[in-house]
Amino acid sequence: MSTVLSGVAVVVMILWLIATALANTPVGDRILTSVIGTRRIRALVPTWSFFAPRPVSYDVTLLYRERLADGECSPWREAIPFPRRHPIIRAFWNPGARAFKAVSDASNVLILSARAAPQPVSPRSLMLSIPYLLLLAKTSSLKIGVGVVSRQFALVRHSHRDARIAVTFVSGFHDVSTSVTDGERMSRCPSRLPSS
Amino acid sequence: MSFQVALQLTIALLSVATLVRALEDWLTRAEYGTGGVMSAEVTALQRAWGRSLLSRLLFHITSSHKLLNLCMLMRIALPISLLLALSLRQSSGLTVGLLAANLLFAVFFLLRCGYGADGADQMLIVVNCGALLATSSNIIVHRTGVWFITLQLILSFFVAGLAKLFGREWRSGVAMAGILTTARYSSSPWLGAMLVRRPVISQALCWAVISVETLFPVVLLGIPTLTVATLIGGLLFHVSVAFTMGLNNFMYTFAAAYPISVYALL
Repeated sequence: MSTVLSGVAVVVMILWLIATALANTPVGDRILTSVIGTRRIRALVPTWSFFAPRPVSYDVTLLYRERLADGECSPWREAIPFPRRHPIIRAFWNPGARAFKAVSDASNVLILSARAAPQPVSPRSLMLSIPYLLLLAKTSSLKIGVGVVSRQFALVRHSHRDARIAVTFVSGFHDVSTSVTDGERMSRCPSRLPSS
Repeated sequence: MSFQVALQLTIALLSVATLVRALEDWLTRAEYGTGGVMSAEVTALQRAWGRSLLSRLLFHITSSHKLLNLCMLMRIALPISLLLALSLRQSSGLTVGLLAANLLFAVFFLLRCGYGADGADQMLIVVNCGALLATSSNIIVHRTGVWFITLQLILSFFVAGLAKLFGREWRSGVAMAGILTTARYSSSPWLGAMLVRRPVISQALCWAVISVETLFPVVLLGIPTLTVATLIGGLLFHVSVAFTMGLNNFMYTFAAAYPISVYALL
């Protein structure tokens, strides 16, 4: 029994190494994804091509604004304020980095989905996509002020190098109400098509 | 370095890496709940669920916020227990059990997380899995564990270097200036601005990174001095990335792979 288990462990490790080497080639990645099927299990196979071949050269920020009962809109605000930490502290302790990575991942998947979708892009199909729902969940959960009737989010790209800000995605307005729970609010959000 | 020392160092560093990552996740746990940018209710919808009992059970496991909180608490408790077991020189059976449980929760968290996961999470699982196998009394399994960690470490550098070599921005030297002028990946805006002003330095740094990473497999040549120099260079690279880019978890998790690799290669 222990010999069989040992054999299985050795074979799994060798396959894991081969899969890692394969996953880091453009063709191999496609083959592996089709073999493994689900994106989640694929996450167990490391992708070691950090910041390459195309490095990150901008930040992605999730913004939101509100429409008031009188039709006026609030200024855009950051949904996840960036934590300012001393470089030495950041080298050892950097909570919140994962949330920013999640926004960046969601932004990339959302934009890729929009580009890959048949033109013209159906707003409803985008609104039901996982990254859209995640970003909507985040902005919908933020505290709602008096007189706010709906909320909209946007993704912007920027860097210290460039004074310009590129708006990469703008959602429609989604109803928000202080009289419903978070869960109810989430389920209500995708029911309305974007107005922009 | 003896195997026992290498294994204990790897487990100790793995425990620290897991603990730091888990504490960071616990502090930001609201992001995994309803209304978070990694909301369990939403990420669970990434696959189509059926009506069968198994499907319902898996959906519950994937989307449950309570289970995720439990998982985070276990990811805090297990590395502390591992460190205690090491310091009290407890039986290897206990260490193996704790390593296996740690691996289980690390895998669950990675599969559950989806958005926001990175290479540090993957290296954590690689080192945990390799260390678990390395504790085996079966020589083949033991060697497989040791070489699994070592080859993944070598592969991580080589693949990253090769991918950069194929990147136009890396070859031209604008990549470093680009990365270090972002807020997320730059601990010092001054450094990014300096690289924009002095593209020669940016280009030199880009080629230094490409060289260190692509040449990392020289550790397999069996030349002790070269191996030691390369491993020290690799470790310093992770430390410098933590200080300049704030990627602290990469420093902790990759450092855990080094003691076992030193044992394997020297």
